[in-house]
Amino acid sequence: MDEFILETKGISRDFSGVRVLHSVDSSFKRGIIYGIVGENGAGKSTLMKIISGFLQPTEGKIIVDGKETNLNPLKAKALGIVLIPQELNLVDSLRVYENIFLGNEISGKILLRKKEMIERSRELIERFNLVISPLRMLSELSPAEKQLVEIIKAISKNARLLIMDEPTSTLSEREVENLFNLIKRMKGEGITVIFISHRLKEVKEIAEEIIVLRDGRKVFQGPAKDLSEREIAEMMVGRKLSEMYPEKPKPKENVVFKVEDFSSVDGKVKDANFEVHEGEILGFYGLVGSGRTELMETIIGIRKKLRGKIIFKGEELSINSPWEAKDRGIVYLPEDRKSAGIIEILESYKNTTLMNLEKHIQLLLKKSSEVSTFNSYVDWFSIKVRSPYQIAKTLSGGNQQKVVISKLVETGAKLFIFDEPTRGVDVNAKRQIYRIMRDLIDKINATFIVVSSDLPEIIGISNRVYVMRSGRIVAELQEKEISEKNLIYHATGV
Amino acid sequence: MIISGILSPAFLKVRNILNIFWQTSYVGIIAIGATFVMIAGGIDLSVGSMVALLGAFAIEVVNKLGDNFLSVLVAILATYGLSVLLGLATGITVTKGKVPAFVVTLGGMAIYRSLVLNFANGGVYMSMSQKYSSIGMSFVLGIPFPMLIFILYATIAHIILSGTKLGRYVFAVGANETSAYYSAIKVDWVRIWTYVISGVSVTTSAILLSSMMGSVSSSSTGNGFELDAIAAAVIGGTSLNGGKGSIIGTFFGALILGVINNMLVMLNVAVYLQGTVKGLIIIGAVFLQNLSRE
Repeated sequence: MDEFILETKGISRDFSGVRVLHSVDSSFKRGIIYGIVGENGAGKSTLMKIISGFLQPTEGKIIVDGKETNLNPLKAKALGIVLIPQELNLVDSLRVYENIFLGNEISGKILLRKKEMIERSRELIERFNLVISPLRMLSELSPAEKQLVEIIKAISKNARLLIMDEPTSTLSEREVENLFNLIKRMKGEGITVIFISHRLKEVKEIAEEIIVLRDGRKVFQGPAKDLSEREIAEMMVGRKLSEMYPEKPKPKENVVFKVEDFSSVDGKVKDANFEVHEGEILGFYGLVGSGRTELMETIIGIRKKLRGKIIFKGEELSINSPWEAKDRGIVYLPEDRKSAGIIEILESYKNTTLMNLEKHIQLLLKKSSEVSTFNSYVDWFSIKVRSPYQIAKTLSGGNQQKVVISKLVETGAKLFIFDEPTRGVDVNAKRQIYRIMRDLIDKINATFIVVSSDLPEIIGISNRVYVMRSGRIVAELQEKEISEKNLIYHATGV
Repeated sequence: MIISGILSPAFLKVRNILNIFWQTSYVGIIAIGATFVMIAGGIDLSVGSMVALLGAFAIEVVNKLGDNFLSVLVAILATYGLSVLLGLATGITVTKGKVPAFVVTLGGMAIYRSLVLNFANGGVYMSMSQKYSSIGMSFVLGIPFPMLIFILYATIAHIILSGTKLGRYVFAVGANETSAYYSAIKVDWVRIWTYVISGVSVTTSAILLSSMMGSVSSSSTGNGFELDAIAAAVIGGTSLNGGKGSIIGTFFGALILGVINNMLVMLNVAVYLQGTVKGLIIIGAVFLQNLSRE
């Protein structure tokens, strides 16, 4: 048997004449866990799609089990190469076992053998020490559990090389730990795992070997243990990192926003009490499903409020919809940029001006006025865009997020609720977004509430943190008390 | 155009081209309304039956009030009023009632047709007013009145769609309803307004058509208009998935459809087969849209 399950030799790929991968050599051994890191647009996804047969290389060879192979998705599957994309390929309206065997059903002459599929699913699930009933509807599962189902599905197809694209981006710390245990067990069974993530700490923790891509070129492949997170990050951006987080803001004494005895009709938020000082960055930490997003959505009027008070600038507000919130100067950056933040098929400038079109109306909408507003944000936020008319979909994640933030700033709001502001955003854009927040505090007197699952982020930017668990606020941490240990302790309750 | 000119010399006569334009106006005006609905991500299948219902309503009001200028004016205003109500009802059922637009307007299609059939007892509404009939048959500066209204209507619609807040919101809602909602846009009302605009367009068309004909047939007036209106919009680049489209596109889409219809007649294609050609054109246009997206 060949030592390598898969090698790439001089792989290049062009998209409409532009080279996005430059002659990448890489090799993957059996039963080893690889971490692939790089900024957005570095070529990670393109390389992974080529390895799993979804894209053909423009130049170069792919060698599977020592033999040169032309891959397509079916052939890759037959060879045991499985890609788990960031957006999972599962059907919410089917049961767990039906999802596991989707497209791979066991059937007799005419009818499906349900019992056998349920039994096989149960075995697979137990083999990896998981507790999910094969009969549950997928829609009832948490994002983390869905992730596990997707992995089980891959294993059921006798995967030998499993590629996971950002599997941890929606998971909390403890769920990540579960996932890592599963990955280690797969390694024990001789499965090769390629793990793509923006979170360097995780990559360093799980991967034995690291591949760094930058601008479509492989700049490093080697053992993970010799590298520090800082060194990896510096290889990714190609220069020394100045500090990731800007200096924390100095909030004023006065309380600008206060929530009292707040509960949502659906019971996802129970008796929340908290306050924010003017010019503060207030963090909200908790596991997925702890009610952080739900609390913010109730404040902003998207979810129905059962009872409770909101006091903003000394005035009690009644907010039942996003437009009422906007009129009061409170805006929300949703956690899911693609489905709720950016409007992908609209031009970039139209995204920026969407929430304050009134400003550009002189009888009719004045395009030149809209474009000049957009351009002022291009300068202020360093948005990388070819022209104001570029369709938002073709911007990188970080630039899309900056456009969404510009849209919110345009409303003239003073209280910004940011839900996972840097999810799926590269290291450089992350730094810039933190600096934009600081800038908004200094220049327009903004105040921030930031919901995040990213521990270093919460620790790095917050003046204070509230921790939520099962719909309740369970702890308030002052600046000195904010630590990884404290946050996880309160979030998990153990 | 050139091909049809060669195939049939009658095609290129000024009179014929003017005729095509004229014939296209009725569906064209409706297609403009449909464009708003479709860009916002909806669909309106009820427009054909609505033409018959509203046309019959206008004729009936004029007949009741007598043959004078005032009664014609009242009839027109009342018909617009009725169509605004129907548009509101459709829009509110779709948005607040969360019934898919396809179902609501398919139901509307059946309801409007059956109402007009019932009131006319399956027969025809005849206009007894000279004043009313003179609208649809009049010429301004040698141009048929319906054609003039079509051009004017398209111009106003273009300004609304590309130059107003409502127009921008229509695009935003159709492109991504959730993002639009999180951006504090009153998504439901934007969609309701598109159905009102569709209703108003149908009224405009119904008045022009019923006054030109001097009658409305409860069984055949407006038949297949929904297909033609959607086809015109789609040929003009409006996406059935919402978020994309333009009035200029629909305007020329309607004209292209008119030319094709005319060609089929000139080339002696059997009347019964014309639906086949239109059906293929819609399917082909959407197919091409999908290709260009990839």
